[in-house]
Amino acid sequence: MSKSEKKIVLKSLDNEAFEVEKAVALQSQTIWVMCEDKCVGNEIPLENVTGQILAKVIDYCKKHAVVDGDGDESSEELKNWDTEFTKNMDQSTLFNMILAANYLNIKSLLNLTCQAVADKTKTIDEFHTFLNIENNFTPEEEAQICQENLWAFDD
Amino acid sequence: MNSDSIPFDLIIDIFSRLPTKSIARFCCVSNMGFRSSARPRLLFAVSQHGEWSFFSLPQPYMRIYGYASGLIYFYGTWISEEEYREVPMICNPNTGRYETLPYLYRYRKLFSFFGFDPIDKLFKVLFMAYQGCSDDHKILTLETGEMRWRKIQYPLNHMPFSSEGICINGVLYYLAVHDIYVRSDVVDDERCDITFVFKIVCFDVRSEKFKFLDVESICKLINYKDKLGFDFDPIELRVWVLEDTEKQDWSKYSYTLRDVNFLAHYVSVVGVTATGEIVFSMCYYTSNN
Repeated sequence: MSKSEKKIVLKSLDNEAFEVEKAVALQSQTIWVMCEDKCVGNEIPLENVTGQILAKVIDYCKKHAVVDGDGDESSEELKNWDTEFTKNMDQSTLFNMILAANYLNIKSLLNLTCQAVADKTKTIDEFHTFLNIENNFTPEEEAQICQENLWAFDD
Repeated sequence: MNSDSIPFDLIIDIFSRLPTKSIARFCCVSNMGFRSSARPRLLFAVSQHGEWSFFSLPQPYMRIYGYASGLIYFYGTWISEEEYREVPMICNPNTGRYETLPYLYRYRKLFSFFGFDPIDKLFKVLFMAYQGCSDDHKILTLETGEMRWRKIQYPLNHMPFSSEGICINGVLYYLAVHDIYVRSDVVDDERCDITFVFKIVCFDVRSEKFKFLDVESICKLINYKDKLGFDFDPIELRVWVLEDTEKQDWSKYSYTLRDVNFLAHYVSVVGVTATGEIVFSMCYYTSNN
């Protein structure tokens, strides 16, 4: 396999191009299918992901790629790296990472980001803000639900 | 904040990772369907190395392993302090709380069922005796304070077929072996023809009275939209739904399962959702399927 074939170019929504090893990019099932079908050349346009998010996704994939002679990272180390990776992400970045992981179909990243949101979400309002949805209960309905689930509110 | 929104299945994914307490709190989050997920409805219980894990999905569903009105009934949980005696146990998967019931000695194989009386709001556990031993039929009402087993009269001399009971609107149904015919006139040397005659036992949880329904053959009892239904044959799905217990009035439906997947994987019916969709399970299911 020639050197050029091992590399692949990912192009973000805002036209930022990233050249990555094929092994790194192929962790995305979406990209894998695209390459398999040979429906794209060496440059893959990703219309749903911004450059800022794509850079982070590529960071993750590089860390998790099994490249020749580079697989000596212990699972413990990887786990710590994952924790650090999501620890300082703000809600909006996490939100977009979930969408990107979903679109690119990277199961482990989707798993990691969903778990990170669940871990960071402590109050109802936080969940509202995160999902960008409104609390569409009337105050009476809300009070009734709280009453029905009293056990959940005593700490 | 964001113009895109997270697909509903991903919201459910995140939601299912929250602790139960948070889920109940967060059902105030929105009207978009979270209310139903506050109570785990489609529930799978998996036992691994003595630990039970519950998986729930926001889907109405009734699977019976001694399940009634939100509580799950187990038997055979080993508790080390009790010298590995098998004790009956009630679990509330919603809160994760457990309660053990008084130990009851049983001579042999155990047939036990769990029912709920919606009028007096009482849960009861039924222990049927194994035929041919000196055990009594016993019943226990779940209540605060000291619980004790009471003796109960059973009018006929037959045995439950399995411990798969189903409780609908205060009536507990299970399958029992009513009679066994052995035809020895079959010439084929060592084999003889055994025919089982089954009945469906209907136990009224409130009055603690038994009634019996005739049934053609072995079948799987299901809760079909709050009525008793059962299927006969996994290949040609035949569903009977009991419309009237007194008159033994059944509605009968028959479906041919065309999907070749069904035939190849020993499909069995595990339950029915509230909207009447029948849930199947494949015995030999792999991720490739």
